[in-house]
Amino acid sequence: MDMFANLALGFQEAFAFQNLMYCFFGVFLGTFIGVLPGIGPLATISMLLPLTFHVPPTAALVMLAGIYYGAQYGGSTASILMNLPGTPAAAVVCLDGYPMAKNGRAGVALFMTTIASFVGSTIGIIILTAFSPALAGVALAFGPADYFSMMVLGLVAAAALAQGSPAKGIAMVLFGLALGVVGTDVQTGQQRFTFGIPELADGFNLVALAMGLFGVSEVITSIRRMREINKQKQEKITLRSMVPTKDDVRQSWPAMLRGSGVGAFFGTLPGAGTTIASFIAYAIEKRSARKPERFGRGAVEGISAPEAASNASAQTAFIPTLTLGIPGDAVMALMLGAMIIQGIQPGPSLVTEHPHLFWGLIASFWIGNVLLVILNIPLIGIWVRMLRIPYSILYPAILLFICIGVFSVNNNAFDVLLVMIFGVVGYVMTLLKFEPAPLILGFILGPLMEEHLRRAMLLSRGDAMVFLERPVSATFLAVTAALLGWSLFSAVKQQRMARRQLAPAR
Amino acid sequence: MGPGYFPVIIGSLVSLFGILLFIPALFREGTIKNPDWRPFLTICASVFAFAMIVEKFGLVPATVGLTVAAAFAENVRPLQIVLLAIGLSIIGVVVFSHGLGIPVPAFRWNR
Repeated sequence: MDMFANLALGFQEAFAFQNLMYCFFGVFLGTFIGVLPGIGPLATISMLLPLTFHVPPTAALVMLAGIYYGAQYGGSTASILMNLPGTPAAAVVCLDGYPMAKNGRAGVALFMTTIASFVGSTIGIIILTAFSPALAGVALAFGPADYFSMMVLGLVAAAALAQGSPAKGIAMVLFGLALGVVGTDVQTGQQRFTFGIPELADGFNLVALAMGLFGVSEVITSIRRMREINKQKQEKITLRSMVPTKDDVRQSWPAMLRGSGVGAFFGTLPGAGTTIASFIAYAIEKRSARKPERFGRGAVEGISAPEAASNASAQTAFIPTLTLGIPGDAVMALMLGAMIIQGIQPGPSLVTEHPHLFWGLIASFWIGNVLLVILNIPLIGIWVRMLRIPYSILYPAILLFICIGVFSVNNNAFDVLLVMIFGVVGYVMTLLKFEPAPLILGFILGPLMEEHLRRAMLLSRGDAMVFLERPVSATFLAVTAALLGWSLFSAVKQQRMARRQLAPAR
Repeated sequence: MGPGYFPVIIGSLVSLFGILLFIPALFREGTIKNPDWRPFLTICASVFAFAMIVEKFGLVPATVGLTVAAAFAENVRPLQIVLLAIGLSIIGVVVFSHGLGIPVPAFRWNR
């Protein structure tokens, strides 16, 4: 079958020494920052983006991807041991993981989450391998108007389904699109919104934007959080036995399969990421359990299902990114950014034009996950010890890496200044509960969308109705409208319910 | 479709959503979260210090500036600040200048 030939090509690419090294580095670093609360895959990937410029594209993407799904393995470690999640998706593992640790079953919990992560990832990769080429083939028939509408749908979905109010999400997407406009117009060479500043001629530096919005503002919010955490006494951990009981295994494996299914599905949806997948998996487990009272007290399904879900969704998130060029969340947007900077055009043609990259990347996921199991089970002691590093040492190091990283892109201190400005913007946004993720999506997709828009208008000779005349485009726009309508409806319903609760006596 | 086409569309949508968010909020009660002024200002100062220092004076002074400014976010003992500044400078130069070959001079004497 064609798929096996492709996979063979992929494994050949992935086992190349350089790619293997970058894969190992990526998953190791990913586990590291996944374990540590206060820094996540998003900030780390932004920090390493400048590195990828000096490295061939396959190796770069293999490493960045390794950080992403590696973090999902490590995130639950701090949840179990300190009741503090290392990644947002691991938050729900605190609910049953920490009680397990208090019952002296920390070792079993850590073991089961690693296995669950592996199962989830494997199922996610299988789906990724099976469905991507077909999906890419379908999308190849799209014209520019269809692409434009598809991107509109992707952005609206990401804004509406992500956390926070949909209106704010869409506002952030628009803000991102507006920021993406700054720079030189590709088609006419005219400068837009640069105000005569030469450093802005190529637009805002993506790395500066991402690091400021995510890295700097996260450091600012983490300092207070970490201060409160470090005051708590850390539990003594004995990992003498990580071997689970037969009951654990019997209860867990259906949970893992269910969680993987949930995760695989939600991973492909734009806007729904690892966090939503893990929460929904937990909710499903609890609702379908025969004895739901066990949850919250150390039920092993309570950690297996969400872990499988978050890892499966991390893998399937690559499906729309690699086949359609539509990023599902901020991390995928950064991956797209890395590809664009390397000169690779994302979209359906990626599978056929860069088969080495595509299949090599997928094969590296398999390899990376095996490496992660090795890293997480025998080496768990190292990660536990790492949790003892005080944040007051970490955060200056993080800031330094951010600054040098950004500076190294264009050897230009202006970019570092941008980091500060976007750090302020990002922090204010966090205070006012505006999500930064849709902004990055808008920023990266903006120039692509504009190109498709202009090309479509050119082909239709200025007729805007082309977006509704082409059936594919019309379908996307219809779904977008439906999504907008549904968000509006549910928002109004929520407001009415809230008002009713505040005025009980009539 | 000139270069102004897309920006005008986006600009109008941004204004529209600005109004959409603003008007209902005027009729809502809410609390504004208190910003953490100390971490906020010190971290911004720290990045600003790096940006201002690195081109004129090199990587090591910039790292020191960053570390010192960042230390004010928390009550850090002076000895720890000095050790951290030295340690980070060494890591910075080794990893970035030598390891990755990024053209940032450690010290710049002739400006």
